Amino acid sequence: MFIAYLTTLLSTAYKVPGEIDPQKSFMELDVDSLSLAELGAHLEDELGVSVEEEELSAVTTVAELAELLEARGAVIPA
Amino acid sequence: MSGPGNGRPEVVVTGIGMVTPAGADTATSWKAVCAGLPAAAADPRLAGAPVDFSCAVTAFDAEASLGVEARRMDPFTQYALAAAREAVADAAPADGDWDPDRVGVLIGTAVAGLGTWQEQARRFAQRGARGVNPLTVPKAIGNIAPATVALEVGLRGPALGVATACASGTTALGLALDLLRADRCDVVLAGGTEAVVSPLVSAAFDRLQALSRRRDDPAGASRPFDRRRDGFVLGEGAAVLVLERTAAARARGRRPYAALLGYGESSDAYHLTAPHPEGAGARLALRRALDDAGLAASDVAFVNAHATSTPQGDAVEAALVADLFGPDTPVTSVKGVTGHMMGAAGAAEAAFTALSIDRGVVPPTANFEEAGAGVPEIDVVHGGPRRADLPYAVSNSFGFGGHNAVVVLGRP
Repeated sequence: MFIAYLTTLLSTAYKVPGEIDPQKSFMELDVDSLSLAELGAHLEDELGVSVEEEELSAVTTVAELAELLEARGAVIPA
Repeated sequence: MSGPGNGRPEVVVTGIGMVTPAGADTATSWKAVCAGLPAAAADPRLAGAPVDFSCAVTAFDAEASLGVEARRMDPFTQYALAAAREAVADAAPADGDWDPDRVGVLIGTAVAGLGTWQEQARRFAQRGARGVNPLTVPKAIGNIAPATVALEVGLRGPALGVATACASGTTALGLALDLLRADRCDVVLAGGTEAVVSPLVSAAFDRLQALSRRRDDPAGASRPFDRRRDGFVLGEGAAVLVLERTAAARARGRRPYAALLGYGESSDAYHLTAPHPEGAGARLALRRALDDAGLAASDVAFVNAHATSTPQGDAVEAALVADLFGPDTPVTSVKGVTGHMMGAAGAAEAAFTALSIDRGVVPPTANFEEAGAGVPEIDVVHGGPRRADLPYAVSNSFGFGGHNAVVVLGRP
């Protein structure tokens, strides 16, 4: 569920081209540090979970972030 | 004086882009300005403020116009980028016509990203540091409009912010003229932008008694030079002009709207907010602009006035216009329609002046009925647009701090 949410967000708001492999890190997907900071703030605003800077770094993969959101009990807004 | 341009390379306006309270593009804005339709209306953003109406940009959809990247921009940058894109499309360079390394961007603003700071201050108060958006600084800083235009359009010449309060847009044009004459750029996108319609800003200007309090008649509130004027109306928006040397425009077959013939600036060194009572600084700027263009006051066929609808400012400017240009030179202030677009005002008004020269039409001063309250009898165009042959025109801008900036435009 969170993988689909994140890949959609990355495709639309962050313009990551093509199909997104969730096993890839943000560095491999060319998501820069400013975008990552913005993404962290967005997740806090929208999903109501705290994501620390070390949990969302260039080497974090999309799947790892999705797991973390799930573990924190994030809720995707309707 | 040695004739128009004083023998230096002539600079022309080959593209215009605008987002104004009168319309989200140049054609719509020009049409509304010529029709004299005031944009002022009650503004839901100002609910509860002592002055709750504005001249708002209402027809602009940032995401539709600029895409998802718009979320990373304060509205003052969104307006500037939309205007810059329209101006470049209008100038229509073919691939290879412009060397991006030689294209500059000069965009002025009086206040920059205040709305972003206000929003983040609210979040900081509620949630502490973690509530503050990481994009706050790059959204709000004063240079970010020209920087974003350079980034998004791919221009690698100088990108400069200009701040002379409500003269900023005109100052940007003057400095762009210098860059082109000095051959430091081949093309400059020059203009101004502003987006600070908020309860705080309304309250702050109202505390200076600068705003019209005509709450029962917002459409009649901005009435430059009129006897019953009582203050300005907050406006917003952006305007960007593409400036290049005549030879380059001609080489690529682009017919310009107008030539930018001269620029003059001065400081009042008199008062923080009030104009010099005899308009000494404004006179100096006008004289310098005319000298720069190699023209006499008697050559000027049209004055696009700064007149914001304040009791004192309009009276000082009108007296100066009467003295320098005589009572029979047509004068207009588009602020009756657009309100005061502040840092964007000078650029929008220079753009309207270029269109006046190109089309041979002076737009009316909306809401003007009769002179008075210190405004002498001058030829304020009102009631409808006026056809006129306009070889040369001036556009005035004045800003808090005593900044005076004037551009001279003429037929190319």
